[in-house]
Amino acid sequence: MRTGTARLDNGRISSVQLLFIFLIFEASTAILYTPARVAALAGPDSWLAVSLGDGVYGLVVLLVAVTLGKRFPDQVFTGYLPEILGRIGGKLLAAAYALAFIHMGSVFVGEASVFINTHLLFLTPPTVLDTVLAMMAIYGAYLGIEAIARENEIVLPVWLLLIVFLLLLAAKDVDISHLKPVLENGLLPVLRAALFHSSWRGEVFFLLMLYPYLSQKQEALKAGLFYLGLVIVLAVVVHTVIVGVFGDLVTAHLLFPLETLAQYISLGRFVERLEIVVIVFLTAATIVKLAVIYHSAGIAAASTLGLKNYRSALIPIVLITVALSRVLYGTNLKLLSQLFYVWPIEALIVELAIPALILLIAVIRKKGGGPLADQENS
Amino acid sequence: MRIKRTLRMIALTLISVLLLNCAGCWDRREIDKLNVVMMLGVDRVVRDGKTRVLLSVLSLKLNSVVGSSGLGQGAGLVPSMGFVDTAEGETIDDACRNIALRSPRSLYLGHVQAIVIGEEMARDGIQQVIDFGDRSKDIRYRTEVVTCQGSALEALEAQPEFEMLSSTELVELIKQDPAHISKTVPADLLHVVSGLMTPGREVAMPRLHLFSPPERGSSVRKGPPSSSITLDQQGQQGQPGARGQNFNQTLGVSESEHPERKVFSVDGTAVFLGDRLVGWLNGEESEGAMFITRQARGGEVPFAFRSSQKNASYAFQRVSAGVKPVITRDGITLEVNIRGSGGLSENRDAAIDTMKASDIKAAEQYIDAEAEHYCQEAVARCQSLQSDIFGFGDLIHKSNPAYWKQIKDQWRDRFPTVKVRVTARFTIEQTGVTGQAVKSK
Amino acid sequence: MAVLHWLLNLFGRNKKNGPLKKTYQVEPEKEDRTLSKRLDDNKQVLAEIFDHCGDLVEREIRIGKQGPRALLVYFDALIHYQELEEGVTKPLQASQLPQSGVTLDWLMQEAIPNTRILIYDRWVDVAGEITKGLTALLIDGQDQALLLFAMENIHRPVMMPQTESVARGSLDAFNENGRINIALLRKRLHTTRLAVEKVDVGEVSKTKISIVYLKGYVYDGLVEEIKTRLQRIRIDGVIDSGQIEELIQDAPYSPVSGIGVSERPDRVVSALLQGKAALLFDGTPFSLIVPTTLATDMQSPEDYYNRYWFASFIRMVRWGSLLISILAPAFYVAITTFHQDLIPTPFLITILASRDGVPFPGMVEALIMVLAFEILQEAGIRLPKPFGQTIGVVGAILIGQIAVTAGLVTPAVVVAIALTAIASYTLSSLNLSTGVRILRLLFIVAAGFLGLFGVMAVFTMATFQLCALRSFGVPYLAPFAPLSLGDLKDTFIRAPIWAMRMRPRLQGYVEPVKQDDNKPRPPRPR
Repeated sequence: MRTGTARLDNGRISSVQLLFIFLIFEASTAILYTPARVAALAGPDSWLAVSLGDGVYGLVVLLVAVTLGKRFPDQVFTGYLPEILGRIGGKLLAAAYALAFIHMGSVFVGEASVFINTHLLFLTPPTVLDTVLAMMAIYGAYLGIEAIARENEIVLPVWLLLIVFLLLLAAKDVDISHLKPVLENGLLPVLRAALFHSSWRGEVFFLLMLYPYLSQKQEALKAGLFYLGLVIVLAVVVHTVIVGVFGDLVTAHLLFPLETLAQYISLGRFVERLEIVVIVFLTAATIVKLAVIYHSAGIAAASTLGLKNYRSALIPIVLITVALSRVLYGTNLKLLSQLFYVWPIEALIVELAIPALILLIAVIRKKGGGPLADQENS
Repeated sequence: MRIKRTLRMIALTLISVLLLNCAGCWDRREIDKLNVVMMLGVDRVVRDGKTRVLLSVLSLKLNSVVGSSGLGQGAGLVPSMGFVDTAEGETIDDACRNIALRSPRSLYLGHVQAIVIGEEMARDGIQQVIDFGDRSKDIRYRTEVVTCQGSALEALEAQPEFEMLSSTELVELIKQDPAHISKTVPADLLHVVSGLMTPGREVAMPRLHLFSPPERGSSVRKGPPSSSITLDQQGQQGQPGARGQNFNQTLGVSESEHPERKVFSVDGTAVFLGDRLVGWLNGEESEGAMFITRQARGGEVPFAFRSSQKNASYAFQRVSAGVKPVITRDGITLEVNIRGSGGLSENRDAAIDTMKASDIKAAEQYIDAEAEHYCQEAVARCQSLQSDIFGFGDLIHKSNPAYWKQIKDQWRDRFPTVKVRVTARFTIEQTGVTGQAVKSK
Repeated sequence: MAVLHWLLNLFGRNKKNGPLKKTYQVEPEKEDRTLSKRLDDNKQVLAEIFDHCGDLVEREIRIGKQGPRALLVYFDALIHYQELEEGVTKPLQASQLPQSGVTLDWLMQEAIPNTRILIYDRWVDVAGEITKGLTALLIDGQDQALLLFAMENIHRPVMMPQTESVARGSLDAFNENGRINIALLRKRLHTTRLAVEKVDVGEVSKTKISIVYLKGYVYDGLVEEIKTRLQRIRIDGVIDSGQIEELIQDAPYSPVSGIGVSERPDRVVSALLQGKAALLFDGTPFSLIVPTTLATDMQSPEDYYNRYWFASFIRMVRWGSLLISILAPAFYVAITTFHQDLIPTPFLITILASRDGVPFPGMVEALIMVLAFEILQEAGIRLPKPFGQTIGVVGAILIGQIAVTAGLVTPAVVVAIALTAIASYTLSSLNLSTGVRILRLLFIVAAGFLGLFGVMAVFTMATFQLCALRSFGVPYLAPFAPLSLGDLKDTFIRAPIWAMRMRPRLQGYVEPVKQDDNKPRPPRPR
């Protein structure tokens, strides 16, 4: 079995850990930024919008990723690109992916720091927040995918429990009539919202960067399907409660509806002021998410440049992401325009179109080991 | 090699120390350096023909307790009942900064419990105030919003009667209202924001009623003893630029010289059209509005039982209401169905024979009529003001979106023509701990 | 430290050691002579080897009436005189010489009633055994020495545990004698499966370390791994198990070692039954248990002796205490200096009143209090026992009363620190609580600079580190991360004994089933 050099990280993750990593992608930043936009597009039908497109889109990305991963069970996506596309083209595309990951990293850093800067640390320079977040994440990336996956096993369950707890507390203020009328303006706005929201489901694409570390590779598809099911439930519940409490119009004009929801919770006037829980755990969740991105970016960069150790690529990557996020996504206006208008297209290209194309080429050129590689690895 | 490593260690240490050095000055604020605001009051004033905002804030203030500053007596500080600062400004936040001109402690809005809007401001439009509250990261959606009949400054200066702070008292008054009285329509910031934004729904909020306490001088309800209201030296120096009107100053001189120190009650409802105050509902009308909007949870309906005077009283406990819009060619009719249960709480001259089923039944019908009357009055008043505080339009929107699209734009004109049919069904389930009423010989 | 290490690595620390690095070299024991047949020659060598050893006793006797001369060599302090007299000297002197003359076989089989005898012919071995307290018997005409056991047992009696006290459970503890330590285990586990392997560590001290485990219960490679790690140690002397712990832990820079420390035999026995191995020491009562996870660090032996409802409740209290003792001061600092909107309004008024006039910022105040508490605690440990009470009283008055009334600190911070202090005493693991005491300071500083955001960042970093930590191959956060749901039954809660049928997945996973279905069932009513 080829180890080390092909994978660059000797860690192993289980399928449950993979599932959790996917979930933290949703539960860290998407949960924060999407409700307002979805409510603006789909109005009271938010819950419908987030349940509609996600499954289909996510499933397509998942199938592409799993099929491609099965052909190259021992390598990360950027590692086998040269094998499929030829040396030059493959290296170029791998480099492009490394840059894309860095770009994503900068968006995530921006997402977290804009949020914290808006709600928690008003006067602290965002650069400091960026740097702190990035340093923590890079430490995780440095420790390897195994440590990240384990960290996530601590953060995610607690955070999900807290979300459920918060939603239950908020349930008292839900006004079902806020979810009516159903489909007032037909299906079109709902579809637009669904299209927007489903771009977040494409993050299942990161399976391609994590596939070689998976200890039970045959369960990748199962984990992905579980992820899609759970994440749709989560998104539907969150969107329903938020719109149910605030109504679609108020939700649409807020920046961070989840945070405002937590602020609004009040039970007997002693269970209140819970918004800090959201901020604090979103910080942790974002750090984990960032760590995964940094890890992938590091691996991509290392496999492109032919480095023996991805860790040496991390520091430059972090510096670039922090600088980028400052320049490009420093204010919430810039960030939101990226998230609402650019990201869906970017996600479609990076996470679905190109991998699908690569898969097609691999099938045509008969590259990759095929399903037999499974046994060899288990 | 070792030297290099040592140098690197030293460099790292220095860098981290320097980093620490530049950190920690941004958001850190010691708790004792804050001017913790409990209540905001916003008024509109005219100065030299220009309208400006007069912001008054009620904040916590610590006063030394006289005679207990020795060791072992604690810090020797107790929070007084609050302290009012005012300042004018072009905008609300401008006024906030102007307050900071004379206060060395920064204004902290994280604990604002209520926003009081002065009548002038309300008639001029509350959007400015609501946007300020909506935008601020410190002010919560749970913050109560009330409109004061009179100036908000006066309301903030009003004397709390039971609680230490008038803000606490105001919030408690509003919170308990739906449960026991139902004579005002409570609204927190979220409801106001939502009411301003939602088509087919208008804003209603509690009315703060200021008055001079009629019982002044009697032992029944005395204000707090004068020792706890101490003279504030700082406040005496009137600052230029800020129209300081420190009530403590005047109070400190002498109780008798004190111009009327008002108290407030929360009763009735302020009705808005768009963001402008257009009128008030009195207590009974508010009760009707509470019935229709399903907010009433407990309260009282006095009624006349076979008499020209109201001679019995009914305390309802559980009320539910269903509103159904019926759209016919003639127009829109809203059918309001109110169901409730409760108990008899008063029975003058034993007018109702509680042992007779027929009497109970009759009494229930009187109660129903009375409640329907409240609702009709509320609707009539709101229709005369053109303000749909019940959200009938929103209801039509939700149940019949296609029709709503046609009438959406002229809803404000259509609302006064809407017919509202109210049917109430209240049942008497308890008669207190007695059955028959006391009969005088 | 792990963070620092990582930083150093990031900044490109060269991993190759430079030329200045010195290699460890102990004076090699050059003695390679063997014993001679002539006693006088041997005597000469003895004098050479044990030069300056003033407490060496050489006693010459004669075997039987006309037998050869013999020399008893031993250290004065290590010998049980009566035993030597009764078991060696007297029988030798009184023995009837056989026809064949004095042979070693005759000596061992007939003449000496001593229970255990070793035979060596190299001076290295003979001298080594003498330093351990054995008595060497050199006989004229023999080029081999008999080493006899007649040791003085210098040890405390078995006493109560000093650091891990329980309300219910066995009350004996290990002590400084390795033999007694093993005896305490053998008395609890009457099985041939109980394996004891001995390794000497320390070039000078040659401290005996016993690796104890149950054959067939430990997972493959654990014992080998321990042995390799122990044999890799080249050091002058081992004074306490703490040194060994630092030398064999998986992550050298980690604040927690992942090695359990206990002086309770019952704890060790239960660890052995779980498929772990223990290291028992000569010279310290504190044994090491590997592998150890956070969950086992949080357990107290008493958990298994109490009713499970109560044990589960106490477990949760203890986990809560762990969080409190790490985070409470940091939380206090964060909410009073950054997030005042988190404080309920009435409480805010109280804090506001008490903070007025306190000269220090919240972070400094908390740091001062934490340090004061550490000073008190340290003083309490160092002070002779009778004065311990005094320190408690003085500390309480000093901090609780005077500091507050003098306006140096707020009552709220005193409450926070007192809570922290008390919470940290619930941690039964010594290792964990020392780690917590260090981390606490870090969290306070983080809170002072960035509020709860900083606390969470540091917390994430710390958990990252713990996630990467392994204890002899077992992840330190084992049942949580990696998550194995079935094993959570013995973490936050303590499931009934009869419900814990399966062993933990990652440790001792040789035989998955631990016990039969032992759930008690009442007899059918008649």
